[in-house]
Amino acid sequence: MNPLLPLFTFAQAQSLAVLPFVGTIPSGGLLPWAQFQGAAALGPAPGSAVPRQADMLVVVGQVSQKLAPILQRTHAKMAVPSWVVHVRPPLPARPSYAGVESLEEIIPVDVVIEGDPPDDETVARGLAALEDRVRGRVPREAT
Amino acid sequence: MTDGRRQHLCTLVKNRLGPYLLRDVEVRGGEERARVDRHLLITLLSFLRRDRDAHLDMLVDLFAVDHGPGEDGDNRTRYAVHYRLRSSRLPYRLTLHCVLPEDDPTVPSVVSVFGAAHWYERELYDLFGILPDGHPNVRRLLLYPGFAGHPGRRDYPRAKSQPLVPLRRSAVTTVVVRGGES
Repeated sequence: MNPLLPLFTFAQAQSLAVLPFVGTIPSGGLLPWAQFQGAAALGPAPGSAVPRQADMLVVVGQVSQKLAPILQRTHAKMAVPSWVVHVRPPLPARPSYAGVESLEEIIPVDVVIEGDPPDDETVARGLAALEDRVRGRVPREAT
Repeated sequence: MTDGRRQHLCTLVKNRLGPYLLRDVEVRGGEERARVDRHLLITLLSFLRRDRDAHLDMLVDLFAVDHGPGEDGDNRTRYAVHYRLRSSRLPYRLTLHCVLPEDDPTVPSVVSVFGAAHWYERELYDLFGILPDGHPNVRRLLLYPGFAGHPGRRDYPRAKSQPLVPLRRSAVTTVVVRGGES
């Protein structure tokens, strides 16, 4: 293993450029995103609004079937490796005709931060889970 | 509205439109409602809009209700379309509604009277399949082209989704972080 790899992954985990993708938000307005930005001091910060230059896609709220192809296209244009965080309220008990029930079936999702809106601590724990993945402490794919 | 104003509007509508109402003005849920024949809708709406005493010049809401199949298979009153009006100058509110049978769910488009009805009527078509006759641009509003059926109708299965992209899971595992856990 390259002896500089831990340093490299540490730098990578601390400098993720974030691309926000706002889906439908049932309640709380843009609070989930505001909450996420409040935790930006932990490392990731909003980068440019261009998928090609972003490392991390933050999907906020439930995504509708109508938005799914656009989300998939956005994700496909991101540079590899790309990371996906989904900030969403708890899933409704009954599925709807309009919404995508699980985002994992559209794009690969690394971390789901659940809450309506999630509190700072939950966001921080979610970002810590993501950092573990970026630094290679936790495998990304099931073996 | 206070009772005096309510009474005033009821009398006004009865005096002016009495012969054209299918049912008397009734108060339901704190709102005045009058049932009208759909073929007279445009005439009545433009009259109420122009009338100096009623001055109901704002269309604040337009929506449909699917009452489902009627008892003993009577589907003549399956859908209802409600037009909620307000006056910008006077303290009046009024809802006109018309009832549509299942086999002919069309209403005359009121875009020529209230421009605000444009998107509302597209929504009617999108979610209920109620066709606004004479609308300048009937297209789906909320859902996408290619969506089959009208999900506002009671016979549309609630959970039936029509994905635009193929659904498949990738090899990446997902960590779910919830609030209130340590």
